[in-house]
Amino acid sequence: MSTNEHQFLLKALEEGLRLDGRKPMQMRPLNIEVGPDYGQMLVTLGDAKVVVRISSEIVTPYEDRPFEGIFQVSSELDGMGHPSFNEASHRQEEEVMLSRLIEKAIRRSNALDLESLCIIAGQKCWSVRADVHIIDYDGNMTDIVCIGVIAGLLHFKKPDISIRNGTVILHDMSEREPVPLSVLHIPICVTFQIYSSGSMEDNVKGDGREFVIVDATLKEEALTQGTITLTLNSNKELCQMSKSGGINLEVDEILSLTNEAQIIVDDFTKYIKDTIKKDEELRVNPLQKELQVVNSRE
Amino acid sequence: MVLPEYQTSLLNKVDGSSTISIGEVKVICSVTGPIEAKPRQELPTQCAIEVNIRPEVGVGSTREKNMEDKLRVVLNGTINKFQYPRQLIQVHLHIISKSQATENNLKDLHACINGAYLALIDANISLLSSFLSTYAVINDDRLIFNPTSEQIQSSISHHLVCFDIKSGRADELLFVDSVGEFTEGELMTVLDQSIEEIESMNKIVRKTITEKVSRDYIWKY
Repeated sequence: MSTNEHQFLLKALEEGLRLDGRKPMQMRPLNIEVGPDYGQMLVTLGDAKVVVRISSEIVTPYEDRPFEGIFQVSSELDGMGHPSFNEASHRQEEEVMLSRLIEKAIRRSNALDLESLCIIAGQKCWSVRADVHIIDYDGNMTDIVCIGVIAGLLHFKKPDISIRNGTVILHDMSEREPVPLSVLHIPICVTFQIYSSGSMEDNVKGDGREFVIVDATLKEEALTQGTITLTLNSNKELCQMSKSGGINLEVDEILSLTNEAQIIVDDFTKYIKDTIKKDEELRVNPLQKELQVVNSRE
Repeated sequence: MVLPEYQTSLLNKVDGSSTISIGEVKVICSVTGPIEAKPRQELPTQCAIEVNIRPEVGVGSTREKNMEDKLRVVLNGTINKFQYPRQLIQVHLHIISKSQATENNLKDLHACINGAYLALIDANISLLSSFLSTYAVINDDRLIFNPTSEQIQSSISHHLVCFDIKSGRADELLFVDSVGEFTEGELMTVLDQSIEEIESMNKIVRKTITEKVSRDYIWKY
């Protein structure tokens, strides 16, 4: 980026203006397109796009965790997302940061109940895998990948099983209704970029003025001076906070960011739930609905 | 004839992109180029072509490598390589959902070839000719184009045919891949019928491409 463009962007941000006309605390529009299979979706946030695919298979559990299933997230960046990712060195740093944050946000916050994936303790368990492919890279990958994985998990259904005399019988999707995963809560990441109007020295002394924007695009991300990622769920629980380096931020500033993030999280949680519910209704076989003897439990 | 559903220019950071759905198979394709080649890829008189295919789950295996090699054969014959000496053209494909018939990967490859063609045009890469492919099976002595997965599973032989197209006519055979048991006569029938199939497909694809190009170049002179 040229110095001119750099200064122009910074100045605009300082005045609360953004290139795409958003307000500083406004996310880009989120869109989730559900695919024909369970756990398959295309998530779009502005110009950024990811393809998510959740899959499951039956494996032997880890020896030290006999009562738990396995959950893996693999996110891939390649030349399809941005031509600069052709060089492994450029890709590696981004990839490591991304996978660490997603790991903390979703796996360690126990969003997916691993014990419910156990079939026979120490012998058989489900292994759930989330493949995320970033096909269009336009900044703020953490948030979009997190939304993709959690929406995928909520949408995914694994085939039903039954156990008879110690043998596991896997029922076909057409034979028995597939079962959804037990997702305990919906953590959503919100990433803020911090900029300072003064020099580094002013920032440390507390003289400079900091300004924060949410959901940065690639250009805005390129000139960031500090990043903070907050992961919350709709129960107002903070699952993760990550700020690795960058300029200083006052504690009360962080608290107000948490409140901002909460609004975004509630909004997205509702959108994800609505999208999945709508898709669920489309999938119900009309004949099956008619033949059902039980009343709906809602 | 079942027409594939397709869309171009859906990605912003690459030079050209397309998505194509043929039955249950869906593929996203992106083309970047001509860009600087890595020293080991660089060819003094022509461009290098890199093909990457990513499966729907996990990382690429021998199945994808095999498809990459076959797709490279088609691209090598159609991209005007001498136009871009010492440069690189990169083709990335992601199979969003693969064929339910897992006996062979021809249906996926069929989607990849046609997807790559659309993405190359979207990227304004110089081509020697147009190209399209068809996928046919022989089922109960009947030749079926664009079979469903049930038809694929009960078929004796499978054929993927790719022709280059010059002035609206299928010209030379670029690539043919057949799996199963068949006679020479049957293969010849498949090739003959494929020509008609490809030519009628080309008429429709060409129409949408013409519209697309006139939309893209609004500053005519």
